Amino acid sequence: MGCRACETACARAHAGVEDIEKALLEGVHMRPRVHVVDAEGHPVPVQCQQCENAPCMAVCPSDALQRDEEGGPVYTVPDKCVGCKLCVMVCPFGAITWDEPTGCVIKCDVCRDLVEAGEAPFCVAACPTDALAVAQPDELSAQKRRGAAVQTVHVVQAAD
Amino acid sequence: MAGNGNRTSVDDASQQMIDHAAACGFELAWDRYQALLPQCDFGKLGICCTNCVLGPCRIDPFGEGAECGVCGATADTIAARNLARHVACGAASHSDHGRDVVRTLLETAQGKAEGYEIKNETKLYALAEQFGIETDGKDLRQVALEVAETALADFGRQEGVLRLVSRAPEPLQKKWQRMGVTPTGIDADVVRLMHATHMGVDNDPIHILKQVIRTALSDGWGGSMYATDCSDILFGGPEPIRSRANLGVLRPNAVNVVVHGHEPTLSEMLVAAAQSPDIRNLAEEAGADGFQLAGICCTANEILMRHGIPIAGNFLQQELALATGAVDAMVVDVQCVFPSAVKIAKDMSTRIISTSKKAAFEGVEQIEFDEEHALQSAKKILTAAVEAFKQRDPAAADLPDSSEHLVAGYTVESIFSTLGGTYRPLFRPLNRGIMDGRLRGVAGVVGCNNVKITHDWGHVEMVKELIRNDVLVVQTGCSAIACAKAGLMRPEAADLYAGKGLKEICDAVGIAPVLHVGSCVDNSRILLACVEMVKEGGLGDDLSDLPVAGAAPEWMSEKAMAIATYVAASGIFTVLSEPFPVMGSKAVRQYLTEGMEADFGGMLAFEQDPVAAAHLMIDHINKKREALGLTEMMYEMPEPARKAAAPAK
Repeated sequence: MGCRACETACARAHAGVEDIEKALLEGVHMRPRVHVVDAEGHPVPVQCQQCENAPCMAVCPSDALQRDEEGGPVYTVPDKCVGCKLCVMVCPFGAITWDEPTGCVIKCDVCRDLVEAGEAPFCVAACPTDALAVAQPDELSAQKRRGAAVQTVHVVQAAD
Repeated sequence: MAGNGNRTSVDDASQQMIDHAAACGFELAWDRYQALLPQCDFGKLGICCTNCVLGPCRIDPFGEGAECGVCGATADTIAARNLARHVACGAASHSDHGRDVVRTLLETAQGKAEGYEIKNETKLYALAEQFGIETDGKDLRQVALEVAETALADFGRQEGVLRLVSRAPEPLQKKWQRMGVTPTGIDADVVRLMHATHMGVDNDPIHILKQVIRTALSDGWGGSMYATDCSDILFGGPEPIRSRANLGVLRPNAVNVVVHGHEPTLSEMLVAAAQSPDIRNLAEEAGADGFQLAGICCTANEILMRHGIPIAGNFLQQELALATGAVDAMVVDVQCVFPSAVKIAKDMSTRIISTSKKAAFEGVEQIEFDEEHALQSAKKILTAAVEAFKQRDPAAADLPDSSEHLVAGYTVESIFSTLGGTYRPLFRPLNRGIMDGRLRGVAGVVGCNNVKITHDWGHVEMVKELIRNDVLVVQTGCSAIACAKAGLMRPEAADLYAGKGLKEICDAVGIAPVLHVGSCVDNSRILLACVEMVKEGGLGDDLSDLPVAGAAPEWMSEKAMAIATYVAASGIFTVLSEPFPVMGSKAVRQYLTEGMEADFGGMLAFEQDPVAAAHLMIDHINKKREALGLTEMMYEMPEPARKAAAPAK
């Protein structure tokens, strides 16, 4: 619906603040890692897709983008970022942002601590219409296959 | 943490009913709050503008997206305009209530208002004198007529200066003049503020805020003050009076009538009608042990102050009262009435009766109350309550039995009357206490309940911390009810909770450390008490010199925003729990929390922890004491606890 609840939840979570009004009153630096983008009238949340063969990691000269296991979330190591912004250039989704005040790039890490603990990331939890979800590729394919199969049956039945 | 909508209350009777409601499957405000999460951050920050359909325009609070709306309005303009609309509505609400009281006075003077009479001649003549109305050779009604007409003219005043502004100390009036915020006329100031917020009118955030302040002052020193003055003239000036508060005041075998809302005109008449023999007989014939009137929200405070009618509860107890199943009629008028009342009463014998011309509820019976046939309307309502009583299922009712003693009825006129003041009140004991260092100062703690803070916890924790530090507390509204239920308005509370210096004053004057001064329009009494403190001498020349502070620790309404603004613009530091929804604008938040102090002597602060908030007030009071060169406090300050302990879950 374009409410941008995911954006504000994301910005709050990464700044470690619960109360956005108080945080702004105190001048806490907050920025979202997900962006709701208008695509020809449709609001679409855009964030890191956690690419298997991640170009951002490949291009980073200082090892500032890392992941703990294959297929796991890619996260930034702020101390290692030299600010070359090559990752910003190569990301096919525009999901990496240069963050001037902190002097390093920022991106979505799917709230990896939370997901490991079996909870939903902040953006997913904040979405009032359940438009966001965390899905594993195998699960997603299986789900889509089931959907496609049911649709095929319906089409055949309708033709009979 | 402060609870965060977790269906919790520090008040046992409320907690009992919250649990009972859950068992019965009744939906409460806390449940609806949970279902609404997450609430919109753009709304919270005040940077969503819906004032025209070029929008909705939302400014990016993180500085990377849209910096202004379609028209070019920045976050500063938008937040200031949004605040303006809130304050305009808050001021309008108090003032429209005030207007109705003035109109009732007018109709009473004309002999058109059945059952009403002028009960406080002293106050009527004092107001006549202030207005410069000649009273010699005129009868009471004629004087009342002229006073009411003059007051009513201030609502419609198009130019010049609102009359009651002259009650403020000279230096404060000069500040208002210098800043260009002196109120003109009550209605005109609201209309001008609304005009300022239309697309493409006032764009300078600070200029908008000045207009906000003018309208808020027009409420505090106008609409609200007229409501208080004329209520006192019509219904009598309150005197200290004993009563009880909490759901336990409802009785299992009485016809329980809960009045909920704000305007005193009808509830006054219900009090009278409940005493009439024909209506009492009706209740008796139905097998009831008489009527039990009890109030919720500010109607409760109005009839408590003048008649000692007990209080059933505050804002978040309105659904809990219904959940008891023992309320026969809930009589509602305006402001703070949950539309959900209809839903919860649907499956019970309880009748929700709406009485105001201004407010209707879908699915609720309307017994419209008009001042000309007030007594008849009141009798009709009580008859309906008796009918409902006959249908009540006593087995389904669950009434908490707890209620607490309190003393209410303090006003500028009555507060020290026991010490022998004439009409001009004797504030010497108060000023003396402050100058001697027995009392640190005075705090006004007012406002609502809010599902975002554990029910009553904010009020009770803050007030306990203040009195522990020798700060005398005066209260209105739902905050007063919270502390009354917690036993802070009993004289014994001085022994239990007050600091040594405050206790000595309480013992000497014969008061509790926490004083109930009325409803939310009666915050005007607090302003005038401060004026009296200045007049009494020794504590500076302006309200901003006084060692006083204000707070609203569980506020939620637009009226509270108007009150906080006029109190701060009158020179009094005021702490609010929830931030104003303007934090997305640096200019607006800085002006409210810092800039205002240079211009008016008072400013706002936002702090959700009630004990930390109490210490902001204490620090401010200490700062003022130092500026006045007052002596050190007589007794050592207790070891400060600067954060509140989490409420019991």
